Amino acid sequence: MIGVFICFCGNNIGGYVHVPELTEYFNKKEGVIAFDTMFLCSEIGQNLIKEKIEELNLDSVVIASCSPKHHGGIFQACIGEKMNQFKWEFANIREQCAWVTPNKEEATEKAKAIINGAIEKAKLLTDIGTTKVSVTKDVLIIGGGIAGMHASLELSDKGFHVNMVEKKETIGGNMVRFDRIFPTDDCAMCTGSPLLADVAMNPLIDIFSLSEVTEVKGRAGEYIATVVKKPRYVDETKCTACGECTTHCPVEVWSEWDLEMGLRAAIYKPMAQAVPLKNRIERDSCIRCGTCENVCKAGAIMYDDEPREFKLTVGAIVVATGYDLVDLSNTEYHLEHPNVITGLQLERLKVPSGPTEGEILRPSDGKKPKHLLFVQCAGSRDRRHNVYCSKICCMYATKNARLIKAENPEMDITLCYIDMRTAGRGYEEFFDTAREMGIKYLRGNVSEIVPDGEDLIVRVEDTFANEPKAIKADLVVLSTGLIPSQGTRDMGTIIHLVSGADNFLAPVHVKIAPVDTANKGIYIAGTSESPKPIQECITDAGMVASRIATFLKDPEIEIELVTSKINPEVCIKCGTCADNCVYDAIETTGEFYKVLDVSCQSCGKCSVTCPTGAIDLSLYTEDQITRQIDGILASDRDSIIAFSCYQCGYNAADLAGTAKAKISPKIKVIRVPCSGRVTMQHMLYPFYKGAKGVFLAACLEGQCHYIDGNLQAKEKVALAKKSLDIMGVGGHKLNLFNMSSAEGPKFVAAAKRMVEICQ
Amino acid sequence: MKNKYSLFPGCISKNMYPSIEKSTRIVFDKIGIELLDHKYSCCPAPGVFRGYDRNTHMTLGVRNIVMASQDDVDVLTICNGCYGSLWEANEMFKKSKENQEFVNEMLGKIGLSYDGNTEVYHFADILHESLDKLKENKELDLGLRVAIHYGCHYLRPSAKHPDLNPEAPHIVEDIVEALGCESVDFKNKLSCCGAGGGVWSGAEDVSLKILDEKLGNVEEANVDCMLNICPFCHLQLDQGQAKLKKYKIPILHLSELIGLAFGVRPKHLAMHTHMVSTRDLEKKIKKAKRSKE
Amino acid sequence: MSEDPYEIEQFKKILEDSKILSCVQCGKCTAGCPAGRQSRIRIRELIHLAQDGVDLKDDPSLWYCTTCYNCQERCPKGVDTTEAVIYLRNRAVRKGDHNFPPLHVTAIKSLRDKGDGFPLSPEVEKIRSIIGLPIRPDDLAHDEKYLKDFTKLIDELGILKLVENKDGEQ
Repeated sequence: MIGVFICFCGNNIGGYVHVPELTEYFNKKEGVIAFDTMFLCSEIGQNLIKEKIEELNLDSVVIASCSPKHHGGIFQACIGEKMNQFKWEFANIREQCAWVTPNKEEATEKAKAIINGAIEKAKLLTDIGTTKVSVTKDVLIIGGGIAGMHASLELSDKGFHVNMVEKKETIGGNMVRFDRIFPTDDCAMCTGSPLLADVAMNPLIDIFSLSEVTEVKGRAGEYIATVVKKPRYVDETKCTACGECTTHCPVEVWSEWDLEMGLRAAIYKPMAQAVPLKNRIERDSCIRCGTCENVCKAGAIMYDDEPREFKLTVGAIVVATGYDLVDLSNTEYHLEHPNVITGLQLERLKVPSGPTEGEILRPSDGKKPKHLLFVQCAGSRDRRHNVYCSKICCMYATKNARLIKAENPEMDITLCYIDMRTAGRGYEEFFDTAREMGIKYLRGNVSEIVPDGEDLIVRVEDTFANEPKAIKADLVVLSTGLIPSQGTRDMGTIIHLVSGADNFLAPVHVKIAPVDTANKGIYIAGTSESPKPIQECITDAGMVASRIATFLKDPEIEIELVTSKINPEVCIKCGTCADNCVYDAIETTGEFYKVLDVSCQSCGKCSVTCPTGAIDLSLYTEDQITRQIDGILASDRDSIIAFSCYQCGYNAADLAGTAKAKISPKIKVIRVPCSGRVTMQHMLYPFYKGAKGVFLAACLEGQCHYIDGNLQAKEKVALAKKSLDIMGVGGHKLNLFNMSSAEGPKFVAAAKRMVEICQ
Repeated sequence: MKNKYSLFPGCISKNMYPSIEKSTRIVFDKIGIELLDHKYSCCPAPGVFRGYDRNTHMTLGVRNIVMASQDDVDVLTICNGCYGSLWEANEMFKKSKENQEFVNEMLGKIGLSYDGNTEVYHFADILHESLDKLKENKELDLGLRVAIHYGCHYLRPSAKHPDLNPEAPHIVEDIVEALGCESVDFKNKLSCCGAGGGVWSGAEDVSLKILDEKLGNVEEANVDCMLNICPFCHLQLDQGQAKLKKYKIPILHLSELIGLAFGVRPKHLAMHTHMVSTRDLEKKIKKAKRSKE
Repeated sequence: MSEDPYEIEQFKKILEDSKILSCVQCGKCTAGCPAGRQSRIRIRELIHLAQDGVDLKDDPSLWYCTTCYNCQERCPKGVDTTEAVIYLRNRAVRKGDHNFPPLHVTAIKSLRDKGDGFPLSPEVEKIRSIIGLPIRPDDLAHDEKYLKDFTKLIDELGILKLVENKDGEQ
C-alpha cells in the first residue's frame, strides 16, 4: 500500500489545483490511499504522515507538495522516524504545477500526472542505508578579505585550525583599501587593522599569501586541496619589512594596490599593516639591478625563488573570493580619461596614507576639483553590463560625497542616480543629511561623459524637469558595478561550484540556505555570492562558521548511501564505469568491481556508460525512472518529458514557478541527479509510449556539478536524435537545453520552444 | 573576402555627389574588387519611408537585395543610410516568418521572390579588410589632419557589427592612418550630423542646429578636413555649411580621400562640385610626399 | 477597419516588440539625444506616454528624431527606443497625424514615380559625363520596365494613401 499525502499549502496549491478532486481520484486507485491537509509541513501534517505509515503499514509514501528543495529535508526526517528515510517520492505540484498553470482544470490534470508518476516510482523504492566516515577538523578559507578574516577568527575561536589562502601579497581584501565605511563613517583601517593583527597572530590560523587553490579533490569531511604559492623573491623568514629596499629601488610603476592612483617600486609592501608584513618583488617591473640585494641587511632577497605546490587536507571549505569592478573603459563613460575614476580609486585618493595623503586631487594635473560629479549605476542595472543592482553604490557614493563636502564646503558636488536605494539600519538618515549638506541629487541616468580637454561634460536628463543637461565637471567618479572577481569565477571550474547567470556563486537556496552550496562541507561568504555591504559579509562569515562548526562537530559524519551498486552477476568486468568515474569511486579488487560508497557522488553517469546495465544508481534506478515515465504518460499521453538535473535545470524550473511564469501543462519534469544520468533508453522510451517530446534541462557547459555529465548527455542526445530520425519520429523532438540554476526564464523558453516544436 | 560585389551607390552619390561614385569605382578597381551594377531604386531612405510604413520600407529594401541575389553576389553599400536600410530589411526578413510571407507575397506581384541568402556590406568594412591593398596602391602620403565622422547608421544598432565597439570604433581610423593621415579626436566625435530620420527634409531648423553643434566641435580641433563614410552625412556636412554660413571645413567622403591618396587628380574626382571649397586641401596634397617612386 | 494592424490590440504587440514595458524612466535616452539638445523632443517622455497608450498623434516632436540610435544603443533596459519612435510615427500617420513634413510627401511621390527619393537633375548629368561616369546610371530609374513594376509594387503597398490623407485627396 502506498500513501499519497497532498498539501493545499493554503492557497498556494489549493488556489490553483482542485486538491479534493485529486484525493478522491487517487483513493480509487488500487494499492493507493490518499489524504489531503492544509499544511503538510506543519506539525499536524507531519503527524498525519507518521500516524498513517504506522496505522496502515504503508510500503512507501508520496508527498505531493512544494519543491523538495524547500521542505525535502523535513519530510525525509519525518518519514525516517517511522520507516527507511528514502522510501518516499515527492510530487512537486506547487512550483512546477500550481504556480505555472493558470487554468485550474489543466493544473489539476497536470498534478494527477505528476503524482501518478511518483506513485509508480514509489512502488519500486527500496531501503537505502547510511554509513559513517571520519572527518578532518581543519578548515580551508579561500580569500582573506573581510568575510574570510571574520570566518577564520570565528572558527579559530571555536577551536578549528584554519588555512587561509590569499591570492594577493597581503590579506585584507578590498575593505582595507577604503577610507571610511558607511553608515558610521568609521575609518576602514581602524576597523580593519585589529582584525589583520588578530588573524596574523592567531596560532590556529595559517596564512598562505600569494597563493592560489588550483584543485580540490576528495569528499565532504576530507577534501584535498592543491595550493600553489607564487614566489615572493623575498625570504619571508628573514625579511623585517624595514623598507630599505623600497627606498633604494630605482623603479617607479603604477601601483596596483593604489589602483593606479599612485606609484610603487618593484620591491614593496602594499601597506604598513600588510599581513604578512613582508616585502615582495614584483618580477615584471623588476629590472634586476641588484640594489635591493645590496641594501638588505637581513639577506632576505631571493632572486631564484620559485613557485611551490603543496596539498592541504581539510574537512570543510569557505569560498570568500570577493568581487572586482566591471571595466568601463571605451564605453560612454570613458574611464580611460584620467579624470574619470572609479569609486574604489576615489577611496585611494581619500585614504590619509594613500598616494595623495587624503587630498582629493584629480589625476591629470593634481589640482583640486571644483565640480565633482558621481555617476550612479555605472555598469549596474544595465543589460549591457550587469543586469543586477550592485547594492552598495548608493551608500558608498553618498558616504564619499558627504565626507568630501564636509571638508570642502565650497566644492560643488552632484550625484546622478536612477533610484536611491538606501534600505538598511541608519541608511535613510545618512542619505537625508547628505542632501541637507548641500550635495545635489539629480534624478537621471548619465548618458555619456564627453571628454573636453582635461574637463568633462556629463550629459544627463533632469527627469523631474524633463530637461537634458550638460554639466561641466572636473572630476567624475563612477559608482562602478561589482562583478565576481577572477578568483570567484575560477571556483566554478576548480571546485565545481554552481554560479548564477550573473557569474556570482549560487547558494543551494537563495533564501533558506544562503551560505550553503550544493557541495556538502563547502560554503560561500561575502561578495563571492553577490554584491553586499561589509556588515552582510560579516553576517555571512558568522553563519558560515556556525554551519562548519555544526558540520564538523563529531569525529564522524553520516553519509547517505544513495550510491551506485554493481550487480556482479551481470558485470562483464570491462572497466568502463571505473574509467569514466571522475571521482575514482569504482575500484577493482582483482575479481570484481566495487563502488566505494564514501567516494561516490551519486551522479549516475556510470549507469549510462555500462554496456550491460550491471551498475545502477539507487533512488534513480533505470526501472524507477522508466516506471515514473509510465506513470506520467498513463495519466497524460501527450506529455513532454523534461529530465531536469537537480543542480540546475530542476532549480530553474522551480524559479520559473516562483516567478509565476506560464508553462504549458504538457511539460512534466522528472528529476535526475545529473543530465548525465539519463540513458538513451530514457530518451527514447517516452516516444514509444506516445509522448510528444523529450528534453533535458542541464547545467551550462563547463559548469556541470559532476564535471562532464552535461557533455556526456549532449553526446547521448545526438545519438538518440539519429535513432528518432530513423524511427520516423523526428530527432527534433528531443533536445538538450543548458541553463544555470538561477535561470528560470531559460527553462520557460526551453519549455515554450519544445511545445512549438512538438505541436 | 570576395572579389566581386554589386555596388549600391544610393541616390545621393549617383544623383548629387557623383564624385563619390566615381572615386569609389576607381578605388575598388585599383584594389582588385569588381563592382557590378543592378537595377536599384532608392534604398529607400530610412528616415522618411520607415517612419511612414515599416513594411513598405522592408519590402522595397528586399526588392533591391533581390536584384543582387539574382546574380548571386552580395550588396556593397557606400552610404550609411543605404546600409542601414538594406541591412535592416534583410534582418527583418530573415528573422520573421511572417515578414518572409508578407514580402514574398508583395514581390510575387511583380514576379520576384527572395530566399534570404544575400548579405549586405558597408564599404568601410571591406576596405578595412583590404588595408594591405590600400597601402600597396597608395601614391601619396597625404599628411592631413582628419576629423572622422562615422555617422549613426554605420555604428548603430551595433548588432550590425558584433565585433565593433560602437563607443570606441577604430575601423576608419585604421584606414586613415594607413593613408598617412592623422585622425584627430574631437568632442562628441560619434554623435549625429542631424540629417537622419527625415529631419533634414522635415525640420531643417533642428537639423541645422544639430549640425552647428557638431561642426563647432570639429572647428575646435583645427583639422584639414572632415571625413565621412556616408553621402547623406556628406550632403549635410557640405551643404549645411553653406546654410549656416559659419564654417569652411572641407568635407571628404572616404572614397574621395583614398582616391586622392592613390594619386587621382582632384579634378578627375569632381571635387569642385563640393559646396565647401577643397582648394586649400588640394594645395596641401600637391606638396604631399610621394610614398613610392 | 477592424483589421488595421495599428489598432489597440496590435499596438500592444508593437509595444512588446520594442520592449517599452521594460522602461524604468531613467532618462538615459533623453540625456544623450542630439535632437533633444536642440529641440523639444524628449524620448523618455514619449516612451512614458506610449506606455500609457497615448497615440501621440499631432505631437510635432515625434518628427525631430534623427534615428541616430544613441538612446537605443545605450538603453540599460534593452528598450528599442528608436524602433519605438518609428512605430509611433507609423501609428500617428494612421491616426491622421497632420504634422508630418510636406517634403516627405514630395520624397514619397518621387520614389513612386522616379524610383529615387533624390532624382537626377540635368546639372548632375553634365557633371557625371565630364568625370567619365555614364550620363545616366544603369539603375531602376532609367529602365522603363523595372520602374513600371516598382510603381506597381509601391501602389500595392499603399504608402501613398497614408500621406494623401493629409491633403484630403482621397
